[in-house]
Amino acid sequence: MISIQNVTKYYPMKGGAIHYVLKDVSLEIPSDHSIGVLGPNGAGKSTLLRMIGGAESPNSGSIRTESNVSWPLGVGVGFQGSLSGRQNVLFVCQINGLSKAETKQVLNGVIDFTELGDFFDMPVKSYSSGMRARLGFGLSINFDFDYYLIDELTSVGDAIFRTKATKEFERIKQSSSLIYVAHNLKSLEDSCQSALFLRDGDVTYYENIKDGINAYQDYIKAKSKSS
Amino acid sequence: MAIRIKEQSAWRSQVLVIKALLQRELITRFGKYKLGAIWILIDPLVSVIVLGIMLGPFLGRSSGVVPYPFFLLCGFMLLSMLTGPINSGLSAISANQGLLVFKKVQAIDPFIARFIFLLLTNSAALIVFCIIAYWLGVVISLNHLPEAITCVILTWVIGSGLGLQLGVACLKFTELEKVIQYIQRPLLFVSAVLYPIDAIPPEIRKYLLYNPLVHTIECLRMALFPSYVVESVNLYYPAAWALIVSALGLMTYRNNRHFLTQR
Repeated sequence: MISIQNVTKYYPMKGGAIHYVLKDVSLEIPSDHSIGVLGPNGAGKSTLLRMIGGAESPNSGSIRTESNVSWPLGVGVGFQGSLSGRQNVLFVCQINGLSKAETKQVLNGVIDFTELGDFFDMPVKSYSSGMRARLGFGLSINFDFDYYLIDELTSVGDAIFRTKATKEFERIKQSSSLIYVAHNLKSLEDSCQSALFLRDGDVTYYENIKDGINAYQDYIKAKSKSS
Repeated sequence: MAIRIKEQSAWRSQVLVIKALLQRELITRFGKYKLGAIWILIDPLVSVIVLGIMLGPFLGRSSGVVPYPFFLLCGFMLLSMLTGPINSGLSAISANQGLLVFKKVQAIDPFIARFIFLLLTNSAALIVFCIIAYWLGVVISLNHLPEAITCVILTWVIGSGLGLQLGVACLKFTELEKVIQYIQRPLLFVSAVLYPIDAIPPEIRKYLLYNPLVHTIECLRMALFPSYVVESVNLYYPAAWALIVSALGLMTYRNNRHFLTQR
Protein backbone atom coordinates (compact mmCIF):
# COMPACT_ATOMS: atom_id res chain seq x y z
CA MET A 1 0.00 0.00 0.00
CA ILE A 2 1.20 3.48 -0.87
CA SER A 3 -0.66 6.20 0.92
CA ILE A 4 -0.68 9.70 -0.54
CA GLN A 5 -1.96 12.29 1.89
CA ASN A 6 -2.85 15.89 1.05
CA VAL A 7 -0.03 16.11 -1.45
CA THR A 8 0.50 19.38 -3.24
CA LYS A 9 3.21 19.81 -5.83
CA TYR A 10 3.82 22.89 -7.91
CA TYR A 11 6.50 24.40 -10.10
CA PRO A 12 7.26 28.10 -10.25
CA MET A 13 6.93 29.42 -13.79
CA LYS A 14 8.50 32.42 -15.50
CA GLY A 15 6.96 35.67 -14.34
CA GLY A 16 6.02 34.44 -10.87
CA ALA A 17 3.10 32.22 -11.91
CA ILE A 18 2.71 28.81 -10.31
CA HIS A 19 1.91 25.59 -12.15
CA TYR A 20 0.13 23.04 -9.99
CA VAL A 21 0.83 19.40 -10.75
CA LEU A 22 -1.14 18.05 -7.80
CA LYS A 23 -3.45 20.11 -5.62
CA ASP A 24 -4.20 18.66 -2.19
CA VAL A 25 -4.50 15.07 -3.43
CA SER A 26 -5.22 12.15 -1.09
CA LEU A 27 -5.14 8.63 -2.42
CA GLU A 28 -4.30 5.05 -1.52
CA ILE A 29 -2.62 2.83 -4.08
CA PRO A 30 -3.23 -0.88 -3.39
CA SER A 31 -0.37 -3.32 -3.76
CA ASP A 32 -2.22 -6.34 -5.09
CA HIS A 33 -2.56 -5.27 -8.69
CA SER A 34 -1.02 -3.08 -11.37
CA ILE A 35 -2.05 0.47 -12.12
CA GLY A 36 -1.88 2.44 -15.32
CA VAL A 37 -1.38 6.19 -15.10
CA LEU A 38 -3.31 8.22 -17.66
CA GLY A 39 -3.28 11.89 -18.48
CA PRO A 40 -2.46 14.47 -21.13
CA ASN A 41 1.12 15.71 -21.64
CA GLY A 42 2.33 17.82 -18.75
CA ALA A 43 -0.35 16.58 -16.36
CA GLY A 44 2.37 15.45 -13.95
CA LYS A 45 2.48 11.68 -14.52
CA SER A 46 6.27 11.55 -14.40
CA THR A 47 6.39 13.90 -11.42
CA LEU A 48 3.93 11.67 -9.55
CA LEU A 49 6.16 8.68 -10.26
CA ARG A 50 9.27 10.56 -9.19
CA MET A 51 7.58 11.52 -5.94
CA ILE A 52 6.40 7.97 -5.22
CA GLY A 53 9.94 6.76 -5.94
CA GLY A 54 11.40 9.31 -3.53
CA ALA A 55 13.44 11.13 -6.19
CA GLU A 56 11.52 14.33 -5.55
CA SER A 57 9.53 15.55 -2.59
CA PRO A 58 6.08 17.16 -2.53
CA ASN A 59 5.77 20.82 -1.54
CA SER A 60 3.33 19.78 1.18
CA GLY A 61 1.66 16.60 2.35
CA SER A 62 3.25 13.18 2.58
CA ILE A 63 3.72 9.97 0.64
CA ARG A 64 4.13 6.96 2.92
CA THR A 65 4.74 3.32 2.27
CA GLU A 66 6.09 0.26 4.05
CA SER A 67 6.70 -1.39 0.70
CA ASN A 68 9.85 -1.65 -1.32
CA VAL A 69 9.42 0.77 -4.24
CA SER A 70 11.74 0.87 -7.25
CA TRP A 71 13.30 4.05 -8.59
CA PRO A 72 11.33 5.53 -11.49
CA LEU A 73 12.31 3.65 -14.63
CA GLY A 74 12.23 5.58 -17.82
CA VAL A 75 14.27 6.64 -20.78
CA GLY A 76 17.59 7.83 -19.45
CA VAL A 77 16.39 8.03 -15.88
CA GLY A 78 18.82 7.14 -13.16
CA PHE A 79 22.07 6.96 -15.00
CA GLN A 80 25.16 9.11 -14.97
CA GLY A 81 26.28 9.75 -18.54
CA SER A 82 29.96 10.01 -17.73
CA LEU A 83 30.06 6.56 -16.14
CA SER A 84 29.90 3.29 -18.04
CA GLY A 85 26.94 0.94 -17.81
CA ARG A 86 28.96 -1.31 -15.53
CA GLN A 87 29.98 1.56 -13.24
CA ASN A 88 26.37 2.72 -13.00
CA VAL A 89 25.24 -0.78 -12.06
CA LEU A 90 28.02 -1.03 -9.47
CA PHE A 91 26.94 2.31 -8.03
CA VAL A 92 23.40 1.07 -7.47
CA CYS A 93 24.72 -2.13 -5.87
CA GLN A 94 27.01 -0.12 -3.59
CA ILE A 95 24.44 2.33 -2.29
CA ASN A 96 22.11 -0.55 -1.49
CA GLY A 97 24.80 -2.38 0.47
CA LEU A 98 24.91 -5.54 -1.63
CA SER A 99 27.48 -8.21 -0.86
CA LYS A 100 30.15 -9.21 -3.38
CA ALA A 101 28.24 -12.32 -4.43
CA GLU A 102 25.00 -10.37 -4.84
CA THR A 103 26.76 -7.69 -6.87
CA LYS A 104 28.20 -10.34 -9.16
CA GLN A 105 24.77 -11.88 -9.59
CA VAL A 106 23.25 -8.50 -10.54
CA LEU A 107 26.09 -7.77 -12.98
CA ASN A 108 25.66 -11.10 -14.73
CA GLY A 109 21.89 -10.69 -14.80
CA VAL A 110 22.18 -7.23 -16.37
CA ILE A 111 24.74 -8.39 -18.94
CA ASP A 112 22.47 -11.28 -19.95
CA PHE A 113 19.33 -9.22 -20.24
CA THR A 114 20.68 -6.08 -21.91
CA GLU A 115 22.95 -7.77 -24.47
CA LEU A 116 24.94 -4.54 -24.60
CA GLY A 117 28.22 -6.33 -25.35
CA ASP A 118 31.19 -3.96 -25.43
CA PHE A 119 28.88 -1.02 -24.86
CA PHE A 120 28.50 -2.15 -21.25
CA ASP A 121 31.95 -0.66 -20.58
CA MET A 122 31.33 2.54 -22.55
CA PRO A 123 29.99 5.76 -21.02
CA VAL A 124 26.19 5.75 -20.85
CA LYS A 125 26.09 9.06 -22.75
CA SER A 126 27.18 7.14 -25.85
CA TYR A 127 24.09 4.90 -25.63
CA SER A 128 21.02 5.20 -27.81
CA SER A 129 17.74 5.77 -25.97
CA GLY A 130 16.80 2.14 -26.57
CA MET A 131 20.06 0.94 -25.03
CA ARG A 132 19.50 3.12 -21.98
CA ALA A 133 16.01 1.73 -21.58
CA ARG A 134 17.45 -1.79 -21.76
CA LEU A 135 20.04 -0.97 -19.12
CA GLY A 136 17.48 0.64 -16.81
CA PHE A 137 14.99 -2.17 -17.10
CA GLY A 138 17.65 -4.89 -16.98
CA LEU A 139 19.00 -3.44 -13.75
CA SER A 140 15.70 -3.10 -11.95
CA ILE A 141 14.40 -6.59 -12.75
CA ASN A 142 17.39 -8.00 -10.89
CA PHE A 143 15.98 -6.44 -7.76
CA ASP A 144 12.87 -7.65 -6.02
CA PHE A 145 10.52 -4.68 -5.52
CA ASP A 146 6.90 -4.58 -4.38
CA TYR A 147 6.22 -1.77 -6.83
CA TYR A 148 7.92 -1.09 -10.14
CA LEU A 149 7.56 2.49 -11.36
CA ILE A 150 7.69 2.50 -15.14
CA ASP A 151 7.62 5.67 -17.22
CA GLU A 152 7.20 5.16 -20.97
CA LEU A 153 9.99 2.62 -20.94
CA THR A 154 9.10 0.28 -23.74
CA SER A 155 8.16 2.94 -26.30
CA VAL A 156 11.80 3.42 -27.38
CA GLY A 157 12.89 -0.21 -27.49
CA ASP A 158 13.11 -2.38 -30.57
CA ALA A 159 10.93 -5.45 -31.11
CA ILE A 160 13.44 -7.75 -29.37
CA PHE A 161 13.47 -5.59 -26.25
CA ARG A 162 9.71 -5.22 -26.23
CA THR A 163 9.17 -8.97 -26.41
CA LYS A 164 11.64 -9.47 -23.58
CA ALA A 165 10.07 -6.68 -21.53
CA THR A 166 6.56 -8.05 -21.96
CA LYS A 167 7.77 -11.43 -20.73
CA GLU A 168 9.38 -9.79 -17.70
CA PHE A 169 6.25 -7.74 -16.98
CA GLU A 170 4.29 -10.99 -16.79
CA ARG A 171 6.82 -12.48 -14.37
CA ILE A 172 6.97 -9.33 -12.20
CA LYS A 173 3.21 -9.11 -12.01
CA GLN A 174 3.03 -12.50 -10.28
CA SER A 175 4.47 -11.08 -7.07
CA SER A 176 4.65 -7.30 -7.45
CA SER A 177 2.68 -4.50 -9.01
CA LEU A 178 3.47 -2.01 -11.71
CA ILE A 179 2.70 1.67 -11.67
CA TYR A 180 2.85 2.26 -15.34
CA VAL A 181 2.86 5.46 -17.37
CA ALA A 182 2.32 4.98 -21.09
CA HIS A 183 0.57 6.74 -23.92
CA ASN A 184 -0.03 3.45 -25.64
CA LEU A 185 -3.48 2.62 -24.23
CA LYS A 186 -3.38 -0.92 -25.58
CA SER A 187 -0.29 -1.88 -23.58
CA LEU A 188 -1.70 -0.16 -20.50
CA GLU A 189 -4.88 -2.17 -20.77
CA ASP A 190 -2.90 -5.39 -21.22
CA SER A 191 -0.66 -4.89 -18.19
CA CYS A 192 -2.86 -3.10 -15.66
CA GLN A 193 -6.15 -3.67 -13.85
CA SER A 194 -6.77 -0.23 -12.41
CA ALA A 195 -6.10 3.30 -13.51
CA LEU A 196 -5.12 6.70 -12.18
CA PHE A 197 -6.27 9.61 -14.30
CA LEU A 198 -4.37 12.88 -13.80
CA ARG A 199 -5.56 16.22 -15.06
CA ASP A 200 -5.58 19.85 -13.95
CA GLY A 201 -3.95 19.12 -10.61
CA ASP A 202 -6.37 16.37 -9.65
CA VAL A 203 -6.23 12.56 -9.63
CA THR A 204 -9.07 10.08 -9.96
CA TYR A 205 -8.74 6.39 -9.20
CA TYR A 206 -10.65 3.88 -11.36
CA GLU A 207 -10.99 0.34 -10.07
CA ASN A 208 -11.28 -0.94 -13.62
CA ILE A 209 -8.75 0.27 -16.17
CA LYS A 210 -11.43 0.27 -18.90
CA ASP A 211 -13.41 2.93 -17.02
CA GLY A 212 -10.24 4.98 -16.64
CA ILE A 213 -9.44 4.75 -20.33
CA ASN A 214 -13.01 5.73 -21.24
CA ALA A 215 -12.86 8.76 -18.95
CA TYR A 216 -9.53 9.74 -20.46
CA GLN A 217 -10.82 9.40 -24.01
CA ASP A 218 -13.93 11.44 -23.19
CA TYR A 219 -11.68 14.13 -21.73
CA ILE A 220 -9.52 14.19 -24.86
CA LYS A 221 -12.62 14.40 -27.10
CA ALA A 222 -14.05 17.27 -25.07
CA LYS A 223 -10.69 19.09 -25.22
CA SER A 224 -10.27 18.72 -28.96
CA LYS A 225 -13.84 19.88 -29.57
CA SER A 226 -13.43 23.00 -27.48
CA SER A 227 -10.21 24.03 -29.21
CA MET B 1 16.45 -14.97 -8.08
CA ALA B 2 16.08 -11.23 -7.86
CA ILE B 3 17.71 -9.56 -4.88
CA ARG B 4 15.68 -8.00 -2.11
CA ILE B 5 17.16 -4.71 -0.90
CA LYS B 6 17.67 -4.77 2.85
CA GLU B 7 16.58 -1.88 5.03
CA GLN B 8 19.47 0.12 6.46
CA SER B 9 19.76 2.75 9.14
CA ALA B 10 19.83 6.30 7.81
CA TRP B 11 23.44 6.69 8.91
CA ARG B 12 24.69 3.46 7.32
CA SER B 13 22.80 4.28 4.15
CA GLN B 14 24.40 7.71 3.88
CA VAL B 15 27.87 6.27 4.48
CA LEU B 16 27.30 3.80 1.64
CA VAL B 17 26.11 6.55 -0.69
CA ILE B 18 29.04 8.85 0.09
CA LYS B 19 31.51 6.00 -0.40
CA ALA B 20 29.99 5.18 -3.78
CA LEU B 21 30.03 8.86 -4.78
CA LEU B 22 33.69 9.16 -3.71
CA GLN B 23 34.53 6.26 -5.96
CA ARG B 24 32.59 7.91 -8.76
CA GLU B 25 34.65 11.12 -8.26
CA LEU B 26 37.84 9.09 -8.42
CA ILE B 27 36.79 7.44 -11.68
CA THR B 28 35.69 10.63 -13.44
CA ARG B 29 38.55 12.83 -12.15
CA PHE B 30 41.50 10.54 -12.79
CA GLY B 31 40.19 7.60 -14.81
CA LYS B 32 40.68 9.33 -18.12
CA TYR B 33 44.33 10.24 -17.53
CA LYS B 34 47.25 7.91 -18.14
CA LEU B 35 49.08 9.29 -15.11
CA GLY B 36 45.90 8.99 -13.02
CA ALA B 37 46.07 10.28 -9.46
CA ILE B 38 49.65 11.59 -9.89
CA TRP B 39 47.97 14.76 -11.18
CA ILE B 40 47.11 15.58 -7.55
CA LEU B 41 50.84 16.39 -7.20
CA ILE B 42 51.57 17.70 -10.69
CA ASP B 43 48.89 20.42 -10.68
CA PRO B 44 50.18 22.41 -7.69
CA LEU B 45 53.80 21.71 -8.66
CA VAL B 46 53.37 23.25 -12.11
CA SER B 47 51.76 26.38 -10.62
CA VAL B 48 54.52 26.70 -8.05
CA ILE B 49 57.28 26.24 -10.60
CA VAL B 50 55.77 28.80 -12.98
CA LEU B 51 55.15 31.34 -10.20
CA GLY B 52 58.49 30.58 -8.59
CA ILE B 53 60.35 31.35 -11.82
CA MET B 54 58.30 34.51 -12.43
CA LEU B 55 58.21 35.95 -8.93
CA GLY B 56 61.20 34.29 -7.28
CA PRO B 57 63.67 37.02 -8.31
CA PHE B 58 61.45 39.73 -6.75
CA LEU B 59 59.82 38.05 -3.77
CA GLY B 60 62.17 35.12 -3.22
CA ARG B 61 63.99 36.77 -0.35
CA SER B 62 60.86 37.92 1.46
CA SER B 63 60.16 34.44 2.78
CA GLY B 64 63.30 34.65 4.91
CA VAL B 65 64.47 31.36 6.30
CA VAL B 66 61.91 29.27 4.40
CA PRO B 67 62.94 28.31 0.85
CA TYR B 68 60.61 30.20 -1.47
CA PRO B 69 59.23 27.17 -3.40
CA PHE B 70 58.01 25.55 -0.16
CA PHE B 71 56.75 28.87 1.12
CA LEU B 72 54.69 29.10 -2.10
CA LEU B 73 53.54 25.49 -1.91
CA CYS B 74 52.10 26.00 1.60
CA GLY B 75 50.10 28.97 0.42
CA PHE B 76 49.07 27.25 -2.75
CA MET B 77 47.77 24.08 -1.13
CA LEU B 78 45.61 26.06 1.31
CA LEU B 79 44.35 28.30 -1.47
CA SER B 80 43.12 25.24 -3.33
CA MET B 81 41.74 23.83 -0.08
CA LEU B 82 39.47 26.90 -0.14
CA THR B 83 38.71 27.38 -3.84
CA GLY B 84 38.50 23.63 -4.58
CA PRO B 85 35.34 23.02 -2.52
CA ILE B 86 33.79 26.29 -3.74
CA ASN B 87 34.23 25.41 -7.40
CA SER B 88 33.28 21.77 -7.03
CA GLY B 89 30.20 22.80 -5.02
CA LEU B 90 29.01 24.90 -7.95
CA SER B 91 28.60 21.84 -10.16
CA ALA B 92 27.92 19.18 -7.50
CA ILE B 93 24.22 18.88 -8.31
CA SER B 94 24.37 19.23 -12.09
CA ALA B 95 27.19 16.68 -12.35
CA ASN B 96 25.21 14.11 -10.37
CA GLN B 97 21.68 14.78 -11.58
CA GLY B 98 21.36 11.26 -12.96
CA LEU B 99 22.15 9.72 -9.58
CA LEU B 100 19.77 11.88 -7.53
CA VAL B 101 16.87 9.83 -8.86
CA PHE B 102 17.71 7.16 -6.29
CA LYS B 103 15.87 7.73 -3.04
CA LYS B 104 18.99 6.93 -1.02
CA VAL B 105 21.01 9.68 -2.68
CA GLN B 106 20.10 12.91 -0.92
CA ALA B 107 20.89 16.25 -2.55
CA ILE B 108 23.60 16.99 0.04
CA ASP B 109 25.51 13.77 -0.61
CA PRO B 110 27.26 14.89 -3.83
CA PHE B 111 28.47 17.98 -1.96
CA ILE B 112 29.80 15.97 0.98
CA ALA B 113 31.49 13.45 -1.30
CA ARG B 114 33.20 16.15 -3.35
CA PHE B 115 34.38 18.05 -0.25
CA ILE B 116 35.80 14.90 1.32
CA PHE B 117 37.46 14.03 -1.97
CA LEU B 118 39.24 17.40 -2.06
CA LEU B 119 40.26 17.15 1.59
CA LEU B 120 41.83 13.76 0.96
CA THR B 121 43.61 14.64 -2.29
CA ASN B 122 44.92 18.03 -1.12
CA SER B 123 46.07 16.65 2.23
CA ALA B 124 47.83 13.78 0.49
CA ALA B 125 49.63 16.26 -1.78
CA LEU B 126 50.61 18.44 1.18
CA ILE B 127 52.02 15.46 3.06
CA VAL B 128 54.03 14.32 0.02
CA PHE B 129 55.45 17.83 -0.42
CA CYS B 130 56.45 17.97 3.27
CA ILE B 131 58.24 14.64 2.92
CA ILE B 132 60.06 15.89 -0.19
CA ALA B 133 61.01 19.10 1.63
CA TYR B 134 62.35 17.15 4.59
CA TRP B 135 64.30 14.89 2.26
CA LEU B 136 65.83 17.93 0.55
CA GLY B 137 67.05 19.18 3.90
CA VAL B 138 64.47 21.90 4.63
CA VAL B 139 63.96 22.23 8.39
CA ILE B 140 60.41 21.03 9.00
CA SER B 141 59.08 20.59 12.51
CA LEU B 142 56.38 18.18 13.61
CA ASN B 143 56.14 19.73 17.07
CA HIS B 144 53.22 21.86 15.97
CA LEU B 145 51.40 19.18 14.03
CA PRO B 146 48.01 19.84 15.73
CA GLU B 147 48.20 23.52 14.71
CA ALA B 148 49.13 22.55 11.15
CA ILE B 149 46.17 20.15 10.92
CA THR B 150 43.87 22.81 12.37
CA CYS B 151 44.96 25.26 9.66
CA VAL B 152 44.18 22.74 6.93
CA ILE B 153 40.83 21.70 8.41
CA LEU B 154 39.66 25.27 9.08
CA THR B 155 40.43 26.32 5.51
CA TRP B 156 38.61 23.26 4.21
CA VAL B 157 35.56 23.90 6.40
CA ILE B 158 35.36 27.52 5.22
CA GLY B 159 35.65 26.36 1.60
CA SER B 160 33.04 23.64 2.08
CA GLY B 161 30.59 25.94 3.86
CA LEU B 162 30.90 28.46 1.05
CA GLY B 163 30.77 25.69 -1.54
CA LEU B 164 27.49 24.34 -0.19
CA GLN B 165 25.93 27.77 0.17
CA LEU B 166 27.03 29.07 -3.22
CA GLY B 167 26.32 25.75 -4.93
CA VAL B 168 22.70 25.98 -3.82
CA ALA B 169 22.47 29.71 -4.54
CA CYS B 170 23.84 29.30 -8.08
CA LEU B 171 21.04 26.89 -8.97
CA LYS B 172 18.60 29.69 -8.18
CA PHE B 173 20.59 32.59 -9.56
CA THR B 174 22.72 31.39 -12.46
CA GLU B 175 24.50 34.74 -12.83
CA LEU B 176 26.15 34.24 -9.46
CA GLU B 177 28.47 31.64 -10.93
CA LYS B 178 30.16 34.29 -13.09
CA VAL B 179 30.51 36.66 -10.14
CA ILE B 180 32.15 33.95 -8.05
CA GLN B 181 34.68 33.29 -10.80
CA TYR B 182 35.66 36.97 -10.92
CA ILE B 183 35.93 37.30 -7.15
CA GLN B 184 38.21 34.29 -6.97
CA ARG B 185 40.80 35.60 -9.40
CA PRO B 186 42.49 38.18 -7.13
CA LEU B 187 42.49 35.72 -4.19
CA LEU B 188 45.96 34.51 -5.22
CA PHE B 189 47.35 38.03 -4.79
CA VAL B 190 45.58 39.13 -1.61
CA SER B 191 45.92 35.91 0.40
CA ALA B 192 49.58 35.94 1.39
CA VAL B 193 50.23 33.03 -0.96
CA LEU B 194 53.10 34.86 -2.68
CA TYR B 195 54.53 36.96 0.18
CA PRO B 196 54.55 37.04 3.99
CA ILE B 197 51.77 39.27 5.29
CA ASP B 198 54.23 41.18 7.48
CA ALA B 199 55.97 42.40 4.33
CA ILE B 200 52.87 44.48 3.52
CA PRO B 201 52.68 48.04 4.95
CA PRO B 202 50.38 48.14 8.01
CA GLU B 203 47.81 50.51 6.45
CA ILE B 204 47.10 47.97 3.68
CA ARG B 205 47.71 44.93 5.85
CA LYS B 206 44.80 45.69 8.16
CA TYR B 207 42.42 45.25 5.21
CA LEU B 208 44.07 42.08 3.96
CA LEU B 209 43.71 40.57 7.43
CA TYR B 210 39.94 40.43 6.97
CA ASN B 211 40.63 37.50 4.66
CA PRO B 212 40.64 34.32 6.80
CA LEU B 213 42.92 32.59 4.31
CA VAL B 214 45.77 34.97 5.25
CA HIS B 215 45.54 33.69 8.83
CA THR B 216 45.45 29.97 8.03
CA ILE B 217 48.24 30.19 5.45
CA GLU B 218 50.60 32.09 7.74
CA CYS B 219 49.74 29.89 10.74
CA LEU B 220 50.46 26.78 8.67
CA ARG B 221 53.89 28.15 7.73
CA MET B 222 54.63 28.97 11.36
CA ALA B 223 53.58 25.47 12.41
CA LEU B 224 55.70 23.71 9.79
CA PHE B 225 58.79 25.94 9.71
CA PRO B 226 59.92 26.61 13.29
CA SER B 227 62.00 29.69 12.49
CA TYR B 228 59.26 31.44 10.51
CA VAL B 229 57.43 34.04 12.59
CA VAL B 230 54.47 36.26 11.70
CA GLU B 231 52.84 38.43 14.33
CA SER B 232 49.57 39.75 13.03
CA VAL B 233 47.69 36.46 12.50
CA ASN B 234 45.73 34.03 14.72
CA LEU B 235 43.49 30.99 14.36
CA TYR B 236 40.43 32.33 16.23
CA TYR B 237 39.42 34.56 13.38
CA PRO B 238 39.31 31.80 10.70
CA ALA B 239 37.63 29.50 13.26
CA ALA B 240 34.80 32.03 13.60
CA TRP B 241 34.53 32.14 9.82
CA ALA B 242 34.39 28.36 9.63
CA LEU B 243 31.59 28.23 12.20
CA ILE B 244 29.52 30.95 10.54
CA VAL B 245 29.85 29.88 6.90
CA SER B 246 29.23 26.20 7.60
CA ALA B 247 26.09 27.09 9.59
CA LEU B 248 24.93 29.38 6.78
CA GLY B 249 25.70 26.68 4.22
CA LEU B 250 23.66 24.05 6.05
CA MET B 251 20.80 26.50 6.55
CA THR B 252 20.74 27.45 2.87
CA TYR B 253 20.73 23.77 1.95
CA ARG B 254 17.95 22.92 4.40
CA ASN B 255 15.70 25.70 3.17
CA ASN B 256 16.15 24.73 -0.47
CA ARG B 257 16.56 20.97 -0.40
CA HIS B 258 13.22 20.26 -2.10
CA PHE B 259 14.05 22.63 -4.88
CA LEU B 260 17.40 20.91 -5.54
CA THR B 261 15.95 17.57 -6.62
CA GLN B 262 13.52 19.20 -9.04
CA ARG B 263 14.33 18.79 -12.67
